[in-house]
Amino acid sequence: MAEISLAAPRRGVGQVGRHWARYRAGYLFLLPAFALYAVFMIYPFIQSIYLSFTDWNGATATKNFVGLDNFTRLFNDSLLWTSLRHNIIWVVIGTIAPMVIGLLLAVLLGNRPRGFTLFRTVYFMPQVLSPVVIALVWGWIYNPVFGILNEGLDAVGLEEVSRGWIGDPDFALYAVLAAAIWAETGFVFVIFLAGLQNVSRDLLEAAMIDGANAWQRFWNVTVPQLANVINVVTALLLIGGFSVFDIIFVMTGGGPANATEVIATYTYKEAFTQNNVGYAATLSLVITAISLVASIVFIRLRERGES
Amino acid sequence: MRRSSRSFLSMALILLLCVAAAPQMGAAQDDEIELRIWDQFTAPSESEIVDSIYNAFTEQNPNVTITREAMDTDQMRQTVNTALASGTGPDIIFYDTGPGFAGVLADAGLILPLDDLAGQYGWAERFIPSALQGSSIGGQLYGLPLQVDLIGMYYNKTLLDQEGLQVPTTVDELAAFCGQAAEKGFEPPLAFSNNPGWQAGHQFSMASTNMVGPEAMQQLLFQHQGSWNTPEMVAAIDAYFAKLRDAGCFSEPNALNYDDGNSLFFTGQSLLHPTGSWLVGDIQENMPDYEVGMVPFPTLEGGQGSFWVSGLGSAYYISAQSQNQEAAGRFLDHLFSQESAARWVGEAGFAVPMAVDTATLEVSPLFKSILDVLASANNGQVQLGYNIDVLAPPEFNDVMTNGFQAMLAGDKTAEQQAADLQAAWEAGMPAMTGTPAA
Repeated sequence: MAEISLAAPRRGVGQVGRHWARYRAGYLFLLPAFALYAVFMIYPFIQSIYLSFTDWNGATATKNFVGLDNFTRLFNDSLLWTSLRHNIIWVVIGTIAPMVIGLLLAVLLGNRPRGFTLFRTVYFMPQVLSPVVIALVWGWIYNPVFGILNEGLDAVGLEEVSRGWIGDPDFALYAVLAAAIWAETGFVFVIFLAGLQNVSRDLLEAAMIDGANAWQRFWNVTVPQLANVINVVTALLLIGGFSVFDIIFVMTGGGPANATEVIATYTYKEAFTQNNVGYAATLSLVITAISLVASIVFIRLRERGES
Repeated sequence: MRRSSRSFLSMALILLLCVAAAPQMGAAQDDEIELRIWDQFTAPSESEIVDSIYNAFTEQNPNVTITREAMDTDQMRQTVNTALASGTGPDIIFYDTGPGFAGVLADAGLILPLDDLAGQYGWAERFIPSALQGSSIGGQLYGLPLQVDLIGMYYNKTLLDQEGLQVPTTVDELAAFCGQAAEKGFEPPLAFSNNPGWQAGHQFSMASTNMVGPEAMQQLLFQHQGSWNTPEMVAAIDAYFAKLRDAGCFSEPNALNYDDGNSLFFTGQSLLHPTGSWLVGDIQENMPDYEVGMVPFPTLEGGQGSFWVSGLGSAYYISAQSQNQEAAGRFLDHLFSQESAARWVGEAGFAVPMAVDTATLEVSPLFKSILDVLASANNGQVQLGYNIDVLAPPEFNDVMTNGFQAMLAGDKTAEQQAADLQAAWEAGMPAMTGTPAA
């Protein structure tokens, strides 16, 4: 108890005044950023909470209060659960695949082999493209009539495998996900490449002298030192996975037959196609809550692992 | 005495009001007015013509300036409700007709009923009545439609003649045609695309109209009498989305977007293209070496015939909160004057739903044939079917999109789809009176 009172002493008016006098300039510097954050993040978020208790259609002047109706609807909405399942598939594969591929590429280029700059540029390039461009390009790759993927498969005698990749409900989600992984890997690769520069050479040499093979050095020496980088990348991919929208919207619009519907595309349709803005606000809160919980759980687990 | 003094007072008040209003009315004509217009003409070629037609109004009305913003339907959907409701939106919008679009704005009181302006300018005499019916909501006129679309089937006459193939007139013939065309290397024979899925609604409009006839469709769509879940509807759905699929008429339509489908037809890889008259301009531009014709979709076994399907494109609406409603009314009148209408038809290739003398216009034979069909329909010589998606509630359109995609993927039967369509219709049309559920 004594420690607590020492750590957090009660502040009197004089202390608050002194604190303000001392840090006033700092707060003033923060004010513009906070104002932007308040207008574009906090206010819309509070509005979303308010709208989730209404049946607003996006146009009428009156917003009827419907209590918890939108929240109870969530539990009976099979399309929400389908979308959530797609989000989970997206998050799991869309997090693990870029991490593994990005880390592998970073390790391969970690010693700056010949052609380092070229490879680094090529691997990172997809990241500078807008998701819409990526969606269009991959749409052409997957085109069932003139797409290079089917042409390639046909050329090597795999006609049976050829299909309309983004038009087949069994494959569409994974086809779009592959395009997203291609785009994300560049980002993960660059972050890991930077992280590898901070891995201690001394420890790697010590492990080598102790007889550790390449895999043991990688797994027991390199990876632990990348823990913070892995944390950041995983958290970003997790959040991005739950809020993914643009690449799916452009490539398939959530179809065929809802096969690529995720919560964000479903939310968009409810708001702007079905004119159910109240329910769409509720769905957006679901995305927020899931992203928040997933990030907190992940960071807590990592912290526990580190301790 | 008292009565005469009241009359005198009334007369004096009226005179006073007239005197007071006179300078204001003059000012309304002369004051600087900015008309803000949101439309959907994003294609550069269209945009240029639209600018020119808008500018003709400002030349006649030098006190008016036009601020125009072009955006596609999706963009407009995201912003128009909020912009109009907040009073910061445009004076005039060019927006989609139908319950899920302009219907929502009308219900919310965000767009202006045009009945008074229609009376003032004589629009009712100028437009085809069915077109104004299509842009009316709850019996009130809200929009002036720019374009009537015909949905049917384009065919590449040059290649058909070259290959010795005939335009199919029945679905059975069409299925056989697909086999013959595929053997000759024209794959897919039909350039039908269905990503993201709205295209299937047009195919269903043709198949259902040919099966039950335009009158039954009118009863179902406008009077809510009948059902989507009848054996005839099931047969119509099955004929297009299962029979033609199994006959190899399409190639993975769920994976093809509309532009890709168009490209298949433009390049001569596909011989037939079931879509709408809005594509005429692109066909003329992209197929200079081919002669192209258009016919209504083939008849179905047990059906009522082969009918053109028609639907309204977008319409011009005036914001209820506009401070410039008088100028907006004049502007709409300008857009649908004989001079402007001739330009919409001749330069933009739009089938404007009003009587336009095409004799002096230079239009392609294909577009001329479409205008002739519309003129015949206006004279009552041709009966048109209805494009369903602009008349149906969003719930129904959602089932058309996802349900037909599932059928094309082989994951759903025609019976299931018909039942789902009826359920969505009942959910989205709570006021309907003639359905079995009611």
